[in-house]
Amino acid sequence: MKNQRQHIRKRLLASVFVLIGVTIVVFALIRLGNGDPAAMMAGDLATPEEIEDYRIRMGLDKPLIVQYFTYMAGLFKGDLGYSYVYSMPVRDVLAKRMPQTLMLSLTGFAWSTVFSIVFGIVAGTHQGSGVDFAAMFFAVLGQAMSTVWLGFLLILIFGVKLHLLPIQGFGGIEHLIMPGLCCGFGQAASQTRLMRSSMVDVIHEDYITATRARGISRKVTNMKYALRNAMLPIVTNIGFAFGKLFAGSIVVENIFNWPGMGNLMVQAINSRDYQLVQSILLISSVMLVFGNLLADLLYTVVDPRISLN
Amino acid sequence: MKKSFRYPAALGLAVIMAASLAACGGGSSSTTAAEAGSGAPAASQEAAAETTANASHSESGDAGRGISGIDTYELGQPEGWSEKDATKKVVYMQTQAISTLDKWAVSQMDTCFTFDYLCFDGLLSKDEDGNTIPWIAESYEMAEDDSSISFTIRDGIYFTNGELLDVDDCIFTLERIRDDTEHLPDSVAKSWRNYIGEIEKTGDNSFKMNFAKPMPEFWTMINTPDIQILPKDTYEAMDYDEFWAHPIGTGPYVVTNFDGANSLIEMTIRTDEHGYFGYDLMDRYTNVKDIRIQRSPESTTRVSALRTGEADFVQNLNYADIQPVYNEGFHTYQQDASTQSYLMLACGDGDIFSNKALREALSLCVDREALVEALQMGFAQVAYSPSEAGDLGYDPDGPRYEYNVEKAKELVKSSGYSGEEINFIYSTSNSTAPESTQAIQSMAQEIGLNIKVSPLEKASFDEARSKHEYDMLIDSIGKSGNMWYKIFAEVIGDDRFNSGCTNTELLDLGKSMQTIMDSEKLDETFRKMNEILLSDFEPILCLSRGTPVHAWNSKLHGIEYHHHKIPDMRAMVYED
Amino acid sequence: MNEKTRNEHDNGELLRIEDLYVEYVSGGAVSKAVNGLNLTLSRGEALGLVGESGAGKTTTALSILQLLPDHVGYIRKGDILFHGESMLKKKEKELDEIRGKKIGMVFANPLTSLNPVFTVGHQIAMGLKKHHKLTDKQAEEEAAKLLEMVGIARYRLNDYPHQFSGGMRQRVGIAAALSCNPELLIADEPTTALDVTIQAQILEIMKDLEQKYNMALIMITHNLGIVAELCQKVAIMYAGEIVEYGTVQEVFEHPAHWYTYGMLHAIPKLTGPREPLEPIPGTVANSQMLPGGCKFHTRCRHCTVQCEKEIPKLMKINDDHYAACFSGVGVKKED
Repeated sequence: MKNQRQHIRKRLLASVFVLIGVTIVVFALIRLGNGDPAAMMAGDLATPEEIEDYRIRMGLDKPLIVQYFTYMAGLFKGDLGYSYVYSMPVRDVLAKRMPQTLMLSLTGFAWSTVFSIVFGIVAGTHQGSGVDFAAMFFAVLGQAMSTVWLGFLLILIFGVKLHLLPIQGFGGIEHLIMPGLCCGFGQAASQTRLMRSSMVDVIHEDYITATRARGISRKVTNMKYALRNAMLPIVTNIGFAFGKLFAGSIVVENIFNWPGMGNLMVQAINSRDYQLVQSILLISSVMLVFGNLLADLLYTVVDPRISLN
Repeated sequence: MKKSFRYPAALGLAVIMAASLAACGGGSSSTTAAEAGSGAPAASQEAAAETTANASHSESGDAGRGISGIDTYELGQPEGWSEKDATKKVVYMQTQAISTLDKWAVSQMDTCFTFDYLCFDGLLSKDEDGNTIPWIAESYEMAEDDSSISFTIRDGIYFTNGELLDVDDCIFTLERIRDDTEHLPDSVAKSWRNYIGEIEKTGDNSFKMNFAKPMPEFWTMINTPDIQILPKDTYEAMDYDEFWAHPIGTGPYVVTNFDGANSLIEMTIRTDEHGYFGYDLMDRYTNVKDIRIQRSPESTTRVSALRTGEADFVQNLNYADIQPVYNEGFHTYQQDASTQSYLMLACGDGDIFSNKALREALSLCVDREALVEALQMGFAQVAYSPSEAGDLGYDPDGPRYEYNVEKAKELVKSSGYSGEEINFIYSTSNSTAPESTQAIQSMAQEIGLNIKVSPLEKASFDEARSKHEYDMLIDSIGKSGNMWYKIFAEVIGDDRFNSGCTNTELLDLGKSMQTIMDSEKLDETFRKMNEILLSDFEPILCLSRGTPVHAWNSKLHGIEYHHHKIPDMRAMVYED
Repeated sequence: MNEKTRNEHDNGELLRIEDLYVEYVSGGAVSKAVNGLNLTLSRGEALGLVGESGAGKTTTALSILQLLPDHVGYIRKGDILFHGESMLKKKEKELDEIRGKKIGMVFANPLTSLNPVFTVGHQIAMGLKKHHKLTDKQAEEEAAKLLEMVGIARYRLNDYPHQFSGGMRQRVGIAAALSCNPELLIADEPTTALDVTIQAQILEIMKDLEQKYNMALIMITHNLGIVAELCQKVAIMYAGEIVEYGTVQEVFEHPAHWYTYGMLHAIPKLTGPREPLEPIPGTVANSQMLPGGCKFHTRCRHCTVQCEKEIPKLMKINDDHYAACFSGVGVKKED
């Protein structure tokens, strides 16, 4: 146990170094690329003097090292920099956009997890049945159908034709339904497939037959003894999916005009809004690293054969 | 996958795809194309073509293309009306983001003029035909030598917080734009900042503004509300951010909620005892109490929102949606041209296009009409010349861009062009560019020009442009009132985009424009430049002018455009 | 048959397999695993089921418990009677009551027949909790005793299968199968993975149980030595059929089927002069492409025309000995 705790500490420390590395790489990359943020902010028809005026405003006239350390020092104070595109501190921009994205991602994550596990289990334990066929069909459909198509289809059916749901914007639960559906769709489809095949594989294992041979009913065997094993690959899958929550979905947010982070990143890069890009990437990295660590930890909890070392 | 699964699965997928395609209810796009085709004029009837292009403004509209006629609903102010009678709500969806309400602090990336009409007023304004009318200033007089202008301010105008508007507020507003370098960057405020000189108060309700230097765009800028006349005392007493979260102006509506990160503004009609002065002046009224302006970047979603009723008024329809939306009973409006799309050629010493014959050949081989037909489904104006009817510099008998493939071929042969690759760049943020560049490339190929198209991300495009790393590029630029000032004076005159143009006569004319205020002189300069552009074909070749189409619920009346690109929503009437 | 009164539930006959045909269907190919198997077993009787890999022994075992893999294994014909009642006609719930409680099974591969994410103790206690309704604590105590019985220290109760060697895992499997004192134990190659000393230990345990609880045993193996040691009766299986059946003494001393003969003579002798081993020519019959007539005829030196055309049935040689062979060794009364 003590060994485990030590190991977790080591992993966390390593993660911190990884994240610092990320900030350096991002910082360098976005500045080394072409494109002048001051020129972009000043506009097409700006004179060189006007561009310079903007450059000084944005602190870009200072040497790179100074810019980097100013940013990093700010991070420790909770200051994520200033966004020139939005004319407000990055933290404020994120505060206004991040919760909505998280809400959407979490909704997608929640329903897709529950749905895929339940559906996958039922399909796996009833191999060859109608449910199994439906599950496989759904899995293929989900991976074949683009989110864009699905989004427009939903808008068309539930919004325009049936007038059942609002098709855009942010509001109550009814606004969350369609975008949430789109968000989780891909993950639901692939995880259903994974759950189903994992379940099928496990059910055919010798130890399950041995369990039945001891008189344990089919239901208990499947739900208790087979499921524990079948969940192993799913657990890691979920851990990784969790890491991707922050990034959200640009496509879904654009189509449904969901006020989230999706567009933010693309716009930020296009307009060379340096500090916004840096901060978003940093937070994404934190989530990803954390997600990975979580997946690893979960795995050791669930499978006694694996230990953190 | 089991064999027994494959076939029914494939069949099922195919059925779903087919069903969703059918449900999308296509079919109308082919009709539009056919009917739009019938509206395209023959190449030789240029004058007729130019009038047809303005057909959308005729009384009856153009049902064949999905454009509604002029609204004849009665909009005069009823007896005994006051703002308190307003009950309706209107939701407007636009493409641009809105990050701040202070017009002069906004980066060039986004602008939201719509808001200005609702919350503020300018010294002068426009009538429904776009003519300048007195507004906050009840009279004005420009000095003989154009060195200063005097305004007399109207009485009885109140801000939404009850403060009476006076001369000091007007002076303060102008001085703020000129002097507040902390909040207002040069590049944004320069269109006033560079020109405002000293401002003197000449009486209890009059003042004189001196020009630091001649301001060519003055008359196009003075008649808009985006000057944003501010209440001096209130403004100075409040914190900058505090004020701009709930700005106070003279307009009919007040901001109840502004969310810059989500590009959303919510407003409600003012309910102070004084009301909005403009309603009596214009003999107009409104029954709309709440207005919501928000951003919806995806065009399909905007249209769907219109259909479900989530939006009452949407900006900028996809060309393919125009006819269907019209057929469904919505009101569609084709706006006056506000942007011009053009090709810029690198024509300095050593450039491929320093050769005039090649430039002319390129201009001759581009079928501008076909481009507009194909790419904008006819919903744009062909640029037969750099200025259009109504613009300064327009000459009905002047030269035009021709389309003559044979002549182009001969010119290419005689030019000595040896097949070098021509680098044609465009910015990926330009939505029609991918198709138009391809079309132009194949048109040029026909006459023997070898063009390579390179899409560049906006930042890279800007950089390549300023470093003269292109042979030709496609871009578009906006208008200033009734003149294409920015193109002629800055892009050409200052060679802002580094084309290397050596046509000194042209460049001098452009530069000279920067110091002319007199409309007649401006008109003459534009004319001369047009002539050179159409004889020397450098540094730009105009292609077309965008006339976006907007749509609103047909029960919504009173939206004015003043022959401009900004919708004036102050006096809307929403039927039950 | 003996002269005891015919009582459906207690004529001493525990298990009877009648004319069993089992097929595996997968991906279009049909594998005839069991072809007309007949078998009887009395209470307390130990039967050795001998045959090469692929003879259908495990299939027979799984069929008895009705645990053939879903959608793959099918019983096409015949019946399996346990205590005179047909297993094929029983409902799932009834079968669950029999499995583990009345019939126990030890699986062949110890590395795959224990659930990796549950403790060894839990897996042994499984049956106890279900069939004997023991509480967790009681079951834990019982399981500990069972572990000790198979020679594993009780403090290892909460360890996981991967923490044990193959031999130990097999012993855990045996403990689990025996936990509820079944009337019949089917042991599928229980000692194949174990070394000789452990083997001996296991055999001792089984003999002990046989005597103490009058437990019937089907010992599936290809080790004739174990059969000789442990079983009273032996059945030789080839290509899904019993080809020879009888008491161990009879069959081993006077093999009546050329296959049995071949097997016995393929065993090297520890004592006596060195003689070359006589292998049986050819390979085990392919269950997907079985030969007509006697399934062994393609490998038999004494094959006749009749052997090629007719399928031989088990013919009585004496009370304790049956063989399915037209040109059987016994018939010739040689050797």
